[in-house]
Amino acid sequence: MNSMNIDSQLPWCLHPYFKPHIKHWGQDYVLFDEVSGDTHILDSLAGFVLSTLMSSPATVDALSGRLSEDQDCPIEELKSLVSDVLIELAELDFVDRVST
Amino acid sequence: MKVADLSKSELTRRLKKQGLFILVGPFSIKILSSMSIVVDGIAALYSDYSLANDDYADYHIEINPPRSVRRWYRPQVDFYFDGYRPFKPLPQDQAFALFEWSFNWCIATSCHTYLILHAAVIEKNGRAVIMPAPPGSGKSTLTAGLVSKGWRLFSDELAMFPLGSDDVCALPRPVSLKNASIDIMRAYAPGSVLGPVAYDTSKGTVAHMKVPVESVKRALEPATPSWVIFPKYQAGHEATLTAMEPAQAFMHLAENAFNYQVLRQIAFEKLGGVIDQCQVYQFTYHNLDDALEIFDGLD
Repeated sequence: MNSMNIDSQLPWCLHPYFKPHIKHWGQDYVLFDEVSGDTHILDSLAGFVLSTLMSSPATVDALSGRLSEDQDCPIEELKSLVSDVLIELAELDFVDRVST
Repeated sequence: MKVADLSKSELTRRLKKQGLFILVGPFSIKILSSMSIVVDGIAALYSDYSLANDDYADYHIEINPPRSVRRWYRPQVDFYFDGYRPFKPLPQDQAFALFEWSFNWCIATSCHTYLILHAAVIEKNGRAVIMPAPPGSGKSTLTAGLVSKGWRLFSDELAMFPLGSDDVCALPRPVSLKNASIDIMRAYAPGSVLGPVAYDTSKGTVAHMKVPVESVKRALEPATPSWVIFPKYQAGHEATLTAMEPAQAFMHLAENAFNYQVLRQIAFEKLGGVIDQCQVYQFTYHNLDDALEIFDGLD
């Protein structure tokens, strides 16, 4: 799967077996997964995506829209970056598509 | 009453018979041992510690020869914790070092009302420096050097963060010096008292340095964690303090926590709080005087 295959209007959520706790300092995030007991260090984009999904499910469009408020970056480029991060996080079983 | 108030014969008798009960930071411990090297080590390094009531102890530590033929043939020593032996025996001349290691083990494996890091902690003016580091990094040498020049010793091995407060607690115990550090400290702080020397241990040659009396007296005064500094001795390197990314420091702290996997998200939140409270640095040094100048200048 690559970012080209992601429908930017379909919502994503946290994986049901993933219970993260997040802390961040500036652009750097750390995450503790209550289920696995693992701790991870995250870059700013992954940290932002997971922090947002902890509040509620969100689409690539919505995530990119929120990011564009703080970033001087074309929205299409942000969508591609967000999609790539979602795919990586999905491979780690951190996020999942919202089941319809 | 202090350990120093006991005569050598009374100290020996208590250690051999009913146990010596002493207060070490927030803990009371009962020590049982019939071995002269342990008696000598306790007499030399724990003389300033207060005796505790002999009806209760948080930890019962026994350091004695095995109850077997090894009592005579290549004599060995065992550590008994609440009556059982968690480890294989060691050569008898390592008995005092085994007592110190055993005490560390007792606390690190069972005291989960604290988040416990493998780190040295020193204090000045109510503010504590937390120094996590792997073996061989020069942590203990640096700690011993700074403590001999006015910093208060909280611990050489175990940083104790009580879960109910934002402070770090003191557990002042002898500083474990290894190999070349032993002679370095003899030269740097000629008045310092060293305990029995253990040779050919898994860490090389080991000797423990006595805690300054002021650190023992103030053992129940906590401090505010203010700096996390990862020290590294590097031959010929100028003393250098380099700012570190907090998230990176967090991960290193987590790796150095004994009970992170026991406390889980409590430990995660606690460590996050420590990072929030502290400035975080890497510190490379070669010369103890240069290190002292930098540490005295922390603000």
